[in-house]
Amino acid sequence: MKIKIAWLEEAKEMETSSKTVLGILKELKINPEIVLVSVNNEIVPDDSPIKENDYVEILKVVSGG
Amino acid sequence: MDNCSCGARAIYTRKYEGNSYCASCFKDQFEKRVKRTIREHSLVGKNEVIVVGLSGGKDSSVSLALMKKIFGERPDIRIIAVSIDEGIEHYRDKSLEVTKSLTRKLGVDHYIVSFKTNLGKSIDDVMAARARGENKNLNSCTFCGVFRRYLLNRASRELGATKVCTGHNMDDEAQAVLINYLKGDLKRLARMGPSPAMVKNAKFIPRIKPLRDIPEKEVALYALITKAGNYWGECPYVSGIRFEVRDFLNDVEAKHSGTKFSFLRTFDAMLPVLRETATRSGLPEITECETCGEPCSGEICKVCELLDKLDVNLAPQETLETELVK
Ligand SMILES: [Zn+2]
Ligand SMILES: [Zn+2]
Repeated sequence: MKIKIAWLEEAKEMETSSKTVLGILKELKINPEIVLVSVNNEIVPDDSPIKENDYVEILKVVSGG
Repeated sequence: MDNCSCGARAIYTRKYEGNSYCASCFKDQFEKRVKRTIREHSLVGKNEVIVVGLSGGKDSSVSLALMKKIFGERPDIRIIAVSIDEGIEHYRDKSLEVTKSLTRKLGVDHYIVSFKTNLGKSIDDVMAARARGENKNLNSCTFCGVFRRYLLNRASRELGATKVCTGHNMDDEAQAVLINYLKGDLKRLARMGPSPAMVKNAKFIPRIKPLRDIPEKEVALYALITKAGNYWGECPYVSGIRFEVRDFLNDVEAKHSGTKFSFLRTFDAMLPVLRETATRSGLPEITECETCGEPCSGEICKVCELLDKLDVNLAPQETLETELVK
């Protein structure tokens, strides 16, 4: 299925077979410890389901200094 | 995906305990935990002037907002914000704007202390010199940290502070503990922990870390839902072992949730023994720097030593120059 994804100031379409937020993060090789994720502009837990055309925004939250 | 125990839609699941929280219950629980940290370690007493070090990042913004929320109504407690301006273009100038709007919103007195005004050089100056080949062996984070701690302590003391409050979270603490282990720095390890101890000197203002029991991700979530902090910029000069250790701990945590938590709990439990051992092997004697008069363990302090390396000649100041934010 197709979803829209925003990560590191870049938004793009993505073809995925993952069914949850955690699955998407794994696919993108992003450690869930360092991000917060919102789906269709609502912050959600990592085990939330993803469906066709969802807008998934990944915000990096660990700081560097 | 579970709902919150109150029935509302969950926004967060704390993996190591398996509970899910809605925004409102998460916020309540977060504030309770910070209050518990403050109470358990007696971080704040009566008649205190608390300076909160404010960088504009989420951690220090949350710690200021919470200190104001918890102690703002107490007539015997005064909260002041102090920001250090290291002089890093496109990073600190932006985050300083964030700090100003936060302190205006909260109604907190706010002072800015600049590297350039008080120490003669900004970090950009130092890095530009290094790019030209000078002082190649100086790590930017090392001297930036030394300067920052010096100015924060001194400015706080000059403002009459009884405590300096920082935004260090559980991740920062776990990283620092592991780094000191890896470096074999027993003395520094013994100085860590939730409540300040070991070094007693009237010129050192005791430091408190009310967010120390909260994982970084949860501080970020709290900052997002309370709009206390929404600046996520990173210092352009970061480097060194801390970032390797940070990634390592997060990799382990992702596979084994609760690792950071138990690592820090174990350290806390060992701390009394560590402190005893460190004391037995001799604590450095605290003297006063011959150049600037600030407390240190030697003839001249780290800051004056570094300034000397950087060829800065400064007339000693009676008090620091600070800018009050209007
Ligand atoms: Zn709830
Ligand atoms: Zn000195």
